[in-house]
Amino acid sequence: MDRESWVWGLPGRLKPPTAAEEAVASLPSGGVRKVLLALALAAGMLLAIELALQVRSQVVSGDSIFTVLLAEPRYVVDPETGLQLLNPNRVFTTNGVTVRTNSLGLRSGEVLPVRSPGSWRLAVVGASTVMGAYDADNDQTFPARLEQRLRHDFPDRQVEVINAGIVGFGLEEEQAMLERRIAPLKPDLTIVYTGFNDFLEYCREAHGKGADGHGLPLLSLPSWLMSVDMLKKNTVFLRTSAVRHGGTRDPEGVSLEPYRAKLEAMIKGAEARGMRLVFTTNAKSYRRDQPLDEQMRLSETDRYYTHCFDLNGLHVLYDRHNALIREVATTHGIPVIALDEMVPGGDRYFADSHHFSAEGEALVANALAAFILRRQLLPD
Amino acid sequence: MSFVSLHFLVFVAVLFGLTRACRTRDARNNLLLAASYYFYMCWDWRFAVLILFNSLINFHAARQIATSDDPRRRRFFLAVALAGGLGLLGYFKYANFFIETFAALLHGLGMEADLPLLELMLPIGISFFTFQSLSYTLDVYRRQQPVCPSFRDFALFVAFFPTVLSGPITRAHQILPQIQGEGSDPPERIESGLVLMVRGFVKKVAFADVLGMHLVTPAFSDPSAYSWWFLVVAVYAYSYQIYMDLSGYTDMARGASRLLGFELPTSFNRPYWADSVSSFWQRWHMTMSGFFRDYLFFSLGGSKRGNVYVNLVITFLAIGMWHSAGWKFILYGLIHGSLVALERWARTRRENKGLPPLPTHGLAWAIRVFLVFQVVAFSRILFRAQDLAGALDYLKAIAAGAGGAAPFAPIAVAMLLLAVALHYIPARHTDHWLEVIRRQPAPVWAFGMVAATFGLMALSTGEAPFLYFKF
Repeated sequence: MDRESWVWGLPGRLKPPTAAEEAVASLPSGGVRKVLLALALAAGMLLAIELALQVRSQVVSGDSIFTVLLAEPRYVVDPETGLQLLNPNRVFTTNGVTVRTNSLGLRSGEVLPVRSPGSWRLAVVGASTVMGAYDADNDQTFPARLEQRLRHDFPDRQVEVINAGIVGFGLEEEQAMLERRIAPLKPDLTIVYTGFNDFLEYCREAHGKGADGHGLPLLSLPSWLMSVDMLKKNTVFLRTSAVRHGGTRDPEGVSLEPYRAKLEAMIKGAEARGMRLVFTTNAKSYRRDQPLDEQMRLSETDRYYTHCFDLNGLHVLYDRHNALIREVATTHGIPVIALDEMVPGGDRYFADSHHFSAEGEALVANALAAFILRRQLLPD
Repeated sequence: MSFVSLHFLVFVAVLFGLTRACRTRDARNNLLLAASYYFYMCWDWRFAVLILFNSLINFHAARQIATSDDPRRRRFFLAVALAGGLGLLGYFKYANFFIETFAALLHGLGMEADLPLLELMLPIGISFFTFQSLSYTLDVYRRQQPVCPSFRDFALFVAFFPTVLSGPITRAHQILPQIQGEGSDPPERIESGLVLMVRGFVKKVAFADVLGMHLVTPAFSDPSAYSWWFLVVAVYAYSYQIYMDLSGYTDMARGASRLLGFELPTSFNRPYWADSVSSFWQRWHMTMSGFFRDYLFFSLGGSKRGNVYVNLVITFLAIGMWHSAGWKFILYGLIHGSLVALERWARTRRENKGLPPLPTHGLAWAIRVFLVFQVVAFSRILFRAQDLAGALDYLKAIAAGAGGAAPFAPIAVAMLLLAVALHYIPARHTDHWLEVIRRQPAPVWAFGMVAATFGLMALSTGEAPFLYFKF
């Protein structure tokens, strides 16, 4: 048999590599130095761009890698809870947002050491939405506004609402916050706004990790690289699709069992400590009844952080999680306030996909106050 | 560890430096073997045992075959190697398909059987490293390949990190001599290796992923939601997505190998220039189709023994099944096998009648190229759809001529047009451009690298694996 003959019937040898490949293969010698020089220059350019962006950020907002390296860190590991909380008793100002921290490492007023009879103490546990990522001052967050509202309605009572929201917290950290930091303060009521940070895990699962997480750990770009962050944030439209099923992950295929287990564990921990809980559902600015372009614009932050889902996928993901929060809370007899229904979508109430604007914070505070009082969730 | 990740770039850079620092061949091969296993274990450390098993069984079987003149003993050890390699492949890849088919058969015969499906996870790259290791044993059996004296070298051949996940499927005679030799390391390897890696990176991120995200995935997820012309464009886009994806991977594999001093075979040669289905398979994934040609088609008798048309159809059925278990892949293989057989019959008939061969230029040739592309593109609906029913739904949605949504993202349309243009531009022009790029000074290269880095970062979703990983 003619070994050179291509068996499908065409005579002759396989065609050699294309001329383009031959050209690539025959690049002249002596180019090593040129390649190394080009690589060094490219690395220098990338470094210069990054430095320029960091300097600009430092000048404009007072926040950059230099702050992290030279100034006091904003977040520190709290020795009592083991959680990464805000640096206690500090004032940080960046991008026009002033964060005043108390001795517990929270964006909240100092918790009174002694409670007067008949006083109310509430806590709100959550992540950046609770902490008030875009609120210019502590007083503008919805936990602070809730406190103001209750004080206004009950001027004779001592009212405290502890803001126990920390940027980046997921359910596990929120449970630890609830048990280790809030429970010892013996609040009359603890409101849990779970936030969406647990959703990020679904995209990490989809991102090239080995089967069932059996792969070895991988390097990735550090999150403080401003050039990458800026580029990615401003080009979300290139990487995500407006049409249905454009995501790389099917939201219906996401198992919510780990989320359910975490919710159950949080409730169990609270019950064991005699804590009274209220859950809220998670609200977002984009709604199905909005025009597609508006949904795309409003969902940009979510599509940036939860990039393995398309727009429809995010709707489904939020709906499934909110339904689960309702189901689990109802099973345990815990009241649920449906913020996803009570806060209308759009720019008026949201600063981005899921963080509230000032008007949104006020609306949430009022809705919470009304709910708590109507349900008589606080002691007489 | 994906080829399109920072981790991979650092991995290759470190390995490049270390291999150059190795003073002996042994040290270099030990390092590359350890690195290759590390690379594979980044995906799933458990399945590294399968590569080791494949290496052990083929290495020892080949030794027994090579040292024996007893045909029965040689056949026995060949059977052991085949049973070991194909047995594992069959278990992980085809067990559930056969269980389901058997249950359906029983149901058809009026018997109900509640056969439990196995909860199996397909080890990534199993089709590639199984075939690569088996090719060595088969070549030794055919006395076309000397036995490899070093298990370490053979294990490196099987697990070599650029090829272990998605090929190109290399033969022992192509890579073992390079592993066993000191290797030549001319400086131009670095330039050409880097260019190949960048080219592969661009193909994957800027073309394959963009086409997949904006056109192919939406269309195939819910064909009924879109207009017929959007679905047709998505079919063409899929052809370019899969080409850019697999050839991009191959470019990166060849580039990384070249940086380390190894030359891998090419696997693609402008496949959509093909003017016949036979010609397409000469140009598409050549290392895979070459494997089936050499080890299955020839074993069946090729064109010399038995019925060549039956042999061709069987070979293409195996090619279809190689991709994955399922009736859609069997049908895909059957369609291509039948067309290749038909072309062979027509060509033989034409030759017997003394007619001249078909023209290789002009309008008639262009029409043939166009028609062959339609066959290739539309048969791939089977490839992309979830199952046969899904493929049928897709075709029905096109045939219905519905005027639903046609959400063409400008970036996707631009990349599709660019992909088509780049594919059909004559090679002399691309050669010229490459030469122009090559002649640019280092600062221009550096500027290009920065622009490419930002461009690819903006386009990279980070989640889309190479399509052939699942095979």
